Amino acid sequence: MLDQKPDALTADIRAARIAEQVLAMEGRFLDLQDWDAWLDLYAPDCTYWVPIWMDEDTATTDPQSQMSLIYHTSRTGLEERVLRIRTRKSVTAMPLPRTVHMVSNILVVSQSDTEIEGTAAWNVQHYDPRVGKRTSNCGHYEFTLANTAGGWKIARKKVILLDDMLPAVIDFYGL
Amino acid sequence: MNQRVRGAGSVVPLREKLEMVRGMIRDEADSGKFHVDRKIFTDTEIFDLEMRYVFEGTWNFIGLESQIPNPDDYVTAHIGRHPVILQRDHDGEIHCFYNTCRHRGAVLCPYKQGNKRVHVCRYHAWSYDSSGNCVAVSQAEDGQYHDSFDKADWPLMRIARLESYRGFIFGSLTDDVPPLKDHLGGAAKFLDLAADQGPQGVEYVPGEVAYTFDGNWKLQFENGLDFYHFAATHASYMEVMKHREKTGTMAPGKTYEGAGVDEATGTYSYVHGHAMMYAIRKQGRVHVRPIAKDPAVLDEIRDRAGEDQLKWILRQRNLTVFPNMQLVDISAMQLRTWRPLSPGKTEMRTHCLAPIGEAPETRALRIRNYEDFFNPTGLGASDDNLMYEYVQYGYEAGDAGDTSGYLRGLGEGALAEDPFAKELNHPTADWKYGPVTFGDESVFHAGYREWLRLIERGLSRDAEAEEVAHA
Ligand code: FES
Ligand SMILES: [Fe+2]
Repeated sequence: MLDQKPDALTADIRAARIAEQVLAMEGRFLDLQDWDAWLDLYAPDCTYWVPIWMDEDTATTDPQSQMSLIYHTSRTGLEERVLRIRTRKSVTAMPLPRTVHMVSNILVVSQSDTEIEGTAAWNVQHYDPRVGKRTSNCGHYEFTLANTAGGWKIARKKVILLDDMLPAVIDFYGL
Repeated sequence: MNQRVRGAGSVVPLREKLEMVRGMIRDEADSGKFHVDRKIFTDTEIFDLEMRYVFEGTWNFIGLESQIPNPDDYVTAHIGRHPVILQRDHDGEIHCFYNTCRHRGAVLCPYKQGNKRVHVCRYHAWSYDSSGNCVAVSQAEDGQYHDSFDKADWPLMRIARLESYRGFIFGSLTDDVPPLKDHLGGAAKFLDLAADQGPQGVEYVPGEVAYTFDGNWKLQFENGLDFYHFAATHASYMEVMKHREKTGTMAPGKTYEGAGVDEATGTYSYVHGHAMMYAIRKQGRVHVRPIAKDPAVLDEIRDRAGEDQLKWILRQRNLTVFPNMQLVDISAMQLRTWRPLSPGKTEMRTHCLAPIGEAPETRALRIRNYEDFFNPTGLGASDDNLMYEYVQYGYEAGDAGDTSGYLRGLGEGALAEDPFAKELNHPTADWKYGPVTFGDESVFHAGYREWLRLIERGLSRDAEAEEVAHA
């Protein structure tokens, strides 16, 4: 719930606006396939985690003892994924799908001058020119943003994908 | 075409169909030829025959004993088109039932896994205990059943055969299969090489990754034995590896091979369609295996299972247990099963396989290695999955004539004798051996021979039965 005191309200609105901006920029950069700008939104020591479903109701909670789809504990993992599709040697990127990222229901859970934590809902429309088909992925984000010298960066992102019967290929640009 | 075959009326079409299927696999390996008709990847009639006579006509892998360790644990699965429940009963015995209510057919248990002493059907609340007995018919007294009705006559239906080898559970919908051990033949050796990795055997790392690809199941079957595709299909993965070496984010490769062993790849083929390929690498991309993280673990395996067994545990091995399971041991171990949904769509269920009781740091390394390569999100398997879709697309050109994808390895071999026959205690295996760039394709033949044998057997029997019925 929003705190109704004017100062607190201003801070909440500011945090929500920052979160909205960073997430919208992330989606925009992915849609434009501007990978460098996308990578630059992440802190070098970020965590990027896509857990999977353990059963009908619960996703995996411990990446050290349970399976995840993606678990990177630094930006290096994301950089490697970009490097891979840039080699033009992966059929998954020949051609790349066109995407539209939509992020909504952004809620700030906690905020300070240095950190903003929150959740959001996401939907990616995904058009594959290879087969002329549009599909979509959707789910929830949990995120932590950090205020750095270079601006607000994504320090932690957990992507919960709604489905547990996946398509043949799924990568960062479709999440 | 051939619509008549589906009905009961005519005897001739089943015989015709048998001839058609025989023409689909042209096995002249002795003279250097082996051809598989493109239609077996796209044709719906062939698909129906496969489901009925291949998947529902032989042993299928259905799960691990360690998935259901406790009384009343269960997991659900499919054998061919049939949903089943693999259930440990209250006394610890394992059963496999068709997952369907005896009252009016509702799927009894729609969950993937769980623990239930009694399954209550959601439709009219008939109840079955974990041994499969029907223990309650709701409102039975008021149901005006005939005197002859007895709920004891309505237990869950068991599949025809259920056996386990080293914790790997297999089931068959038909009785007409050899004992599991005979069915597995030499392939059992490679299940041993998985099971022997821990003193208490192996388990799944929690969390199944399930996905579909728009291609025929046999594309996965072939790919899991195909060393030839690696350099081309996984070129982008190799680039990432190079980058890791250059930037020092990956530990340098390490070999476990002795000085007298050459780099090589090779294959073994067995009865009933099973086959395996191996790679012996000494430089370049040699995986740092999780199992070798702690030298004490290697010592324990050596003491328990022997030096030769350890040597083979550390080699890259891809096993196919026909018709529905592959076990891959590279930088991590994957056990995958498939379920054909249509000629052009296949469902995969995949797990990271690991020694029970493994140290937490080793387990974490294994999981990271696994995620790196496997899964639709992995840097390797996603390329494979997409290639199956591209091959399926290409096979739609059904009139384009023979393919030549089953011919490597049909010429003269590099060696006169299998160099590993003794190490593997494997005297009768059908083997091929060559350099890392060998890419044997004759390793697929056993699967196609078994495929044909099962369909021929099923069709001949059905044809005979029809002939008797119409005589
Ligand atoms: S169908 Fe199961 S109780 Fe009726
Ligand atoms: Fe591959």
